[in-house]
Amino acid sequence: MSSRETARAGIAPNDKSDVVAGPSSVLRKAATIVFTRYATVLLLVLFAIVFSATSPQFLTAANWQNLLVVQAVVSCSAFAAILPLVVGEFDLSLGNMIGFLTMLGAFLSGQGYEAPTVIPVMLLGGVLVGLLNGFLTVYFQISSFIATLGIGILLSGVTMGLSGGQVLFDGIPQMILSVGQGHFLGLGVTVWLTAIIAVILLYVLEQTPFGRKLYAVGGSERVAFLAGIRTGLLKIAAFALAGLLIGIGAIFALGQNGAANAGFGPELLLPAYAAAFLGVTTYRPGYYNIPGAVIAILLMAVGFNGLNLLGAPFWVQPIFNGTVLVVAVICARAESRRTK
Amino acid sequence: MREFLFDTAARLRTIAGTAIVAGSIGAAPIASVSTAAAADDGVLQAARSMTPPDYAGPTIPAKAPKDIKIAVVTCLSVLHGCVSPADGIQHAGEKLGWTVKVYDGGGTPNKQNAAILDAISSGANVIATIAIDPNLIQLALSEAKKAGIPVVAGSNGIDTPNPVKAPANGGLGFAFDVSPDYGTLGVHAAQWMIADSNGKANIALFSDREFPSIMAQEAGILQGLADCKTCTVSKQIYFTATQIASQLGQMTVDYVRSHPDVDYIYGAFDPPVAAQVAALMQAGMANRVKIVGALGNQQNLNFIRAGRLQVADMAYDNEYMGWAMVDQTIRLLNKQPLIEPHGENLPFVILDKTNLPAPGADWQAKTGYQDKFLALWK
Repeated sequence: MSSRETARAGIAPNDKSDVVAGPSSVLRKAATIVFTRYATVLLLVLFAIVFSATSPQFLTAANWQNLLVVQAVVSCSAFAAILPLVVGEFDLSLGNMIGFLTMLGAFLSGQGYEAPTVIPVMLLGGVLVGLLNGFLTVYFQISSFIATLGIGILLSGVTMGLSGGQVLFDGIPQMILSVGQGHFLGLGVTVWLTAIIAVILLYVLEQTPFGRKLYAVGGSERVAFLAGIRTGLLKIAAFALAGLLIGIGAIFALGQNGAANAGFGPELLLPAYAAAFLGVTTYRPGYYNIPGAVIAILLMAVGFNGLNLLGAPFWVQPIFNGTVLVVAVICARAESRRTK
Repeated sequence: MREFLFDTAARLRTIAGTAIVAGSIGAAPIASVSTAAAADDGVLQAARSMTPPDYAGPTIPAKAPKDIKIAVVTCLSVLHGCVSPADGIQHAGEKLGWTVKVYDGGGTPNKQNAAILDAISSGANVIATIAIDPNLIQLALSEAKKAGIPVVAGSNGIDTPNPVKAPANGGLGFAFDVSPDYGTLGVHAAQWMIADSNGKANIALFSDREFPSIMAQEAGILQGLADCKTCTVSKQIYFTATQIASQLGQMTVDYVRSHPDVDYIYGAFDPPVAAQVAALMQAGMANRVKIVGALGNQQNLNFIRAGRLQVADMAYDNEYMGWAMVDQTIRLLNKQPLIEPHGENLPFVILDKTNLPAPGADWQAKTGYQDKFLALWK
């Protein structure tokens, strides 16, 4: 599924009309809606029931606190992946960018800089890299695949250069460590902050003209342009916001790990896109959306956690994640075909 | 970046007259190595012999508690070196009637944190980590501390007999780390190379600064090579784990091409050596250099067996490491003093074509240590 295809799929379906156009039987209609629109939610509930029945530790508060706290970085990466996807572009630099920004923060910390300097530099660094991705894509007309891949590779080199090939852990500011490892009302601070970010993004994407324009650009850039929307500017803004979110994720990562190593980051790219694609199947089928991505992240997290608690061999988890992704996307394609 | 510039400015330096920054290695070298002499069979034979030569593990009894649940978190479960100590813990745990559950650390700090948090949720009494840097899992260590679960470790090289390295900034660490004496292992490997080359080795020294164990080993290599006045060793060529699959092979080929005098490569540990062997073979350099690795991975032992560039490997008994981790864990739970050094004299050896284990088998010390440990735990 290309970004263009899915973006087009996102603009096509009408939330209300596709429900009306279903089978005549009310029961069948309801079942169709549930299976096509909330397949991942159903899977999540199903897994939660299965793991609760098979592992006494699964449904404990401590387990859920632990389960949620490690999703903060993945969530920021997934949200960052969604914004360029909404405007019909890919950002393949996300993994290397989070590694670079984490290393940048650790490097500055090691130089004696405190949180009031380190945090803004990490955020600003993310925005600047995002802007660069946007400019390369919009003004130089380079495919976002190639431009962001190139920037990602470039960043990986800078990351290694900053690290000197070592794990950097000296002088990480206490404020960053407190954000990463602190708790508030029984949950990790990063969990609360991630929830707040999700709510803000949901509001911006669905309740503001800016958000609707982003979806319009992703649906058809030409139509949006003819309608007077500054498509290039919006695309650059989407990349820049993605960079900002990656900057936030990098602060979470630095705080949680307490150090940075040059290898960190790239492994987050695929889970981020998996969550974004899985999210298309839920809440607003056919659209890249934040609630869908959150459900997808939870689904994968529950799978990882539940399988770990059951003592499943290490090779089972990728099989689980891959199967869930394929099944959910099949559901989304079925929904997309049905509504065309 | 600065090092890159230095590297290009002065690639090779001779050992003679060069101060070696590495700290002094505690154990004595195998023997004095004659320079520019005929291959010193005595030194080679000593390196090929197990160190220590016999069981030198604990002798003080420690009654094993019952019904212990131990969670083992590996660095990455597709890597043999991460898994084999976990196998040792499983074998020892089975004998004690303990419940042992193995979690995959996935090779990244994010997944390692998540796996340890899952282990905490599972109600483990103890969490044992294999080759996981404590600096990168502060979140998980903090949660384990809150839950009152001790976290122990193996294969990091951050505890005795290696230089003790506490996490920075008052960060949390492990109760202990069971590792071989990486420094002495490095000294032995250096002496093997000196003897094998008749004191004329020109060595390209590849290394990875991400791992304290590799740094301790590197210090040993440099200290051992300092005895050879007619050998040369390159400035350290550092790489990172992420470069192993994609770039290290080509880096090595380019280095060997541009340094025709190099005839030995020290590859730091076995996965990078595997990448170097493949790249050099493809580049038609099958007979150009001899490579020395570390870990005792079976793929690398097969390279030695088949005469494919790699000629020696620094191996240690990972099964013993698992048993020693269980032994120290019992003492920790009993609130007994831990055995010093915390590595419990983990046996190691330099393997070459003369002393390889049977194909498909890891190198293991044949000292009957399992029975000795079990007798202590009754």
